[in-house]
Amino acid sequence: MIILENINKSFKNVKVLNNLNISFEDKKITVVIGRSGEGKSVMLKHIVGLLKPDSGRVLFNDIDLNSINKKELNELRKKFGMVFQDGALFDSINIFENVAFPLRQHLKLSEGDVVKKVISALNDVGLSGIESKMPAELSGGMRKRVAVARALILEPETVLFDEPTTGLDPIMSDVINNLIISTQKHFKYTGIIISHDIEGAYKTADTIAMLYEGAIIEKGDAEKFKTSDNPVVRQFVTGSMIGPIVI
Amino acid sequence: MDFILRYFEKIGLFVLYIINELGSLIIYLWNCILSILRYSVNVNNLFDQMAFIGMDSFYIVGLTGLFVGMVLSLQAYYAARIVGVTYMIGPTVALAMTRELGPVLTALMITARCGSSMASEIGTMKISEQVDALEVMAVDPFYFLSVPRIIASMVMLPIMSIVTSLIGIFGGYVVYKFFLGLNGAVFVDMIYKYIKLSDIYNGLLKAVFFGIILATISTFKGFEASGGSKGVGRVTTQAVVLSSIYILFADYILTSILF
Amino acid sequence: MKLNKETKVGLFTVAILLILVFFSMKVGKINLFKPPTYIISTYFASANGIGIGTNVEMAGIKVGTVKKIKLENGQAHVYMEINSKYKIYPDYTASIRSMSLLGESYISITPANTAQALSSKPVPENEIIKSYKSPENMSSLILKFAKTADNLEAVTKSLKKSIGTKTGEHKIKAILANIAELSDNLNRLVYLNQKNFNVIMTNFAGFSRNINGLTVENDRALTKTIHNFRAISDNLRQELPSITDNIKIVSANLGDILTKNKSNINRSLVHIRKDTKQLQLSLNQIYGISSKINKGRGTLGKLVNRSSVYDNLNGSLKGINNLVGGFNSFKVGMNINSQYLDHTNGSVTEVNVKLQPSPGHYYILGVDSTPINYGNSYGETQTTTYTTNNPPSGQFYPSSVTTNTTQYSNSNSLKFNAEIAKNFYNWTFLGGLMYSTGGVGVNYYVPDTNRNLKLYARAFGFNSNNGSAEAYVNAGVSYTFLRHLFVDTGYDDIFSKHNNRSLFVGGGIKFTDKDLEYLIAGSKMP
Ligand SMILES: Nc1ncnc2c1ncn2[C@@H]1O[C@H](COP(=O)(O)OP(=O)(O)OP(=O)(O)O)[C@@H](O)[C@H]1O
Ligand SMILES: [Mg+2]
Repeated sequence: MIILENINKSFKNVKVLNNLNISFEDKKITVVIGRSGEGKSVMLKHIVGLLKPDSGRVLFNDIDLNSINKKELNELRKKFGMVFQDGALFDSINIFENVAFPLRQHLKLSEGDVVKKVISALNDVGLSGIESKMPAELSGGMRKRVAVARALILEPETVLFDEPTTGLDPIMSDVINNLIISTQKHFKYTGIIISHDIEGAYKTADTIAMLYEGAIIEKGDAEKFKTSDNPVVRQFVTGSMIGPIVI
Repeated sequence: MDFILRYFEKIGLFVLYIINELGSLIIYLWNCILSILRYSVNVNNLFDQMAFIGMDSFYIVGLTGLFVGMVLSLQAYYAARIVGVTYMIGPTVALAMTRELGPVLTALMITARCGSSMASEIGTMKISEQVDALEVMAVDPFYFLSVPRIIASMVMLPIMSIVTSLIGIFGGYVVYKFFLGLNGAVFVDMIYKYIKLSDIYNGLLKAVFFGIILATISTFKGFEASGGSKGVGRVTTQAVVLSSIYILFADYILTSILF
Repeated sequence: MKLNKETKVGLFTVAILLILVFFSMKVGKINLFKPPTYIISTYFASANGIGIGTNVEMAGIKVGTVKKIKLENGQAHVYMEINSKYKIYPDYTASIRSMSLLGESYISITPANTAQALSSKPVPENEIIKSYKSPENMSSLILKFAKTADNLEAVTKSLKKSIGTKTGEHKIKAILANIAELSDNLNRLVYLNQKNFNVIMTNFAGFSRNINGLTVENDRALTKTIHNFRAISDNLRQELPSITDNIKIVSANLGDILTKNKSNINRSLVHIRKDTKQLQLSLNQIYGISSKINKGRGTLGKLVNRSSVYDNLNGSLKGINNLVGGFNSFKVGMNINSQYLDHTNGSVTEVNVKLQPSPGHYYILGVDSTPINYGNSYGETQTTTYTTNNPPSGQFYPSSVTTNTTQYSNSNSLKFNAEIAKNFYNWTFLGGLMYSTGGVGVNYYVPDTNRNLKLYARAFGFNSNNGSAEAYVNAGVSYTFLRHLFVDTGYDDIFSKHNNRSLFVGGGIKFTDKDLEYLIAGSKMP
């Protein structure tokens, strides 16, 4: 169980997270939606301790991330996988090494096992035969898929996806969504997905939450969102220009 | 009145900035040491960096040494000729190279070549969230990025300093013997006569410090990068300038302590 | 063969480190493959200049090094490690030698004779071989130099006394009277010895030609000499504390003399002015000599500007006057120097004032303290006997003088210089009174040394009473450094018939009017 409690975060004078409270159930997929620039990525970074809240707590299985030291935090992070919004692939090593990186750092596998695992992980995201390419030689969508493969390769307990399907064509989006669903079924990880893709969210999510003005304004299953009478949610779900959200 | 005070304010800010910077550097270095204790050293990256700082820098460092040695020999000749002590050119070149120019020039060249690359590499990784990715993958950036660079630089700088000094002395010899037409054997003999082991080893000790300084500052500056390619450019410049200044400053301090 | 990067880094690093080890061993003189050696030892009265690691050479070839030095019964017991390749035989002797005047010392082992070496067995391990007295080295010479500076101090002190007191004034008067007298005599002497003089001048011309040839031929030797001088000054730096102290005292004394006795000096100068007539007279005599020279030889004649002698003299005296007043229109220099004569262990010390009305020529007035008989001359008291004896008006001058000489009680006696010098390109020709005798001299400034390196020769003693009018000739080389200090060395009494030939080494300080001005008036240092 991951719980964010009363998180406040400002950059300079801009308040991004405003008394944010949210919990993520274990072994379930939670999709967080919200407008661009709303603070979703910032929220995600709080979960893995990349950012520290100005006030409030981040609890991971009742451990306060702020109260533990660097080494313990690192131990904790081994249970995480994360897909960054821009992929964050290491641009100095090739795709194969990028995906193999977590394996090499944390597991003592034979080279044969590494190759097998990497090839199959890349196959899962629809990429094969690009192992020796450098990240700069790939398209944005391909890079994102490599990032997904890299995040999943250690079969972590918790996987954070920062917009895994943004920038992909609809078919590829579906492939990734299905990949998330199937791997989640298989490894039973806790999934936290940030997405703008409402249809995808309905399909993958056990729970959907909406971030608005630095706080969660609605949380529930797909049905609840489809029938929500919160005008903000309605406007976002229907994707309408007209509504209470000031552009 | 006010505008006078503002000048003092500026001075005050500058002093605070310097102290802050130095403090951060020391904390940073301390963190690196802690990281060695926690995670030991990433041998793979260490060898990468050693190859980068060492063999890959061979030509630039060798060339620098060669020309500096040649020029030294030539300039020393003009001075030595006046008082008729041309036989002292050898020791002059050798002492200058081993004690001072070898370590310092190597450090400056490596700063320019590798320090800048360290800062920009880490800076780019920082702004493209690769450093974050490392952290999330439970890989300590100090362990993965800083420590190998600092240790590689610390180990390879004395090695490269030897290269510079040797090639420099060789360059001096070439000028002495072939351009100036003097007796090469005298050059070599006098070097053995006047140079002491301590000259060589104190020079190398200096190089060790220079290595630590340049790699620490360069990687530290890399992590400070923010705000896109311009930010990376800025920290790269800062890394080179700051490293060079600190190297020259440390050179003075070390020289006054060691020699 | 493809090497991975670890191997490459390893190879590279090890290669460089091996090179480092190699050179470290060479620099640190560590020998892994040390040739077999054996130890011999010897006693020296002084191990000055040698230390552990000093080379041991035989016939110029290195055979070993000094291993350790122990003090035993006030002697230095020096152990030497000799390469087994080289055999040392009994009867071989060790001595401490110096590579050059200043160079490093080494131990030289010399065979007694070859026949012996072949017949006897080599010296076994730990044997003691003979040594002989180490020749004098530079450091002791420098000590002597320091002593010389002490002498200088003493001279200036006595000068101070002689100028400062009433008796001193009288003395100066007497001196001037004597100079006048003397030069009168000289004049006569020259007149009488015209023929001898001609011969001397011919010799002299030949001599200066030789010197000239010498410099051209020995250009390399000369540069080496310069190096040595350079090195001397380096060594001097080590001895500098004592020397500078002395020099400080000297100049302090000078300053003292000149400030404390300003009124005295003024008074003295008034006297001097009163004595101008006499001085004029004496210089007139000197002028007379030069015209004789002119007639005698012809080449030197051009150098002496007859018409301007009086003017110059007046100028000089004005210069002295102005000196005290703190300004001057022409150059005044002063130098104090001392020379150690190797042969007699005596020393010559002189204080000269140089008055230079124009760049072309100058006058020298000075006092010397010399060993008795130096330069075929007699001391002050000897001079006075001339007056009592009524200077001869005819020939056979002065045959009866020596009988009633009262020897000066000091081992050194005071003598005087009054010379005219004429510059001619790099040459300067001098004539006049040298060490209270008639003399001529020539200086040659080696080009491109900023007039710091000077070769010179003097011939004097022309009033000698030894009947043969044998010239007393010395020649040497002098090198000025640090603007105020100079060292010189050369040969004294080169043509001595009594085997008085002697090497001399010396040095001194010189001031220009600027410095004197500073000392006297306390104005700013140039
Ligand atoms: N390191 C930072 N420094 C300053 N401001 C930041 C920083 N990171 C984020 N912000 C600000 O916080 C706000 C939220 O950013 P965030 O990246 O979380 O948005 P987001 O919800 O992920 O948007 P998107 O859907 O476009 O990715 C933005 O206004 C951004 O300007
Ligand atoms: Mg985002």
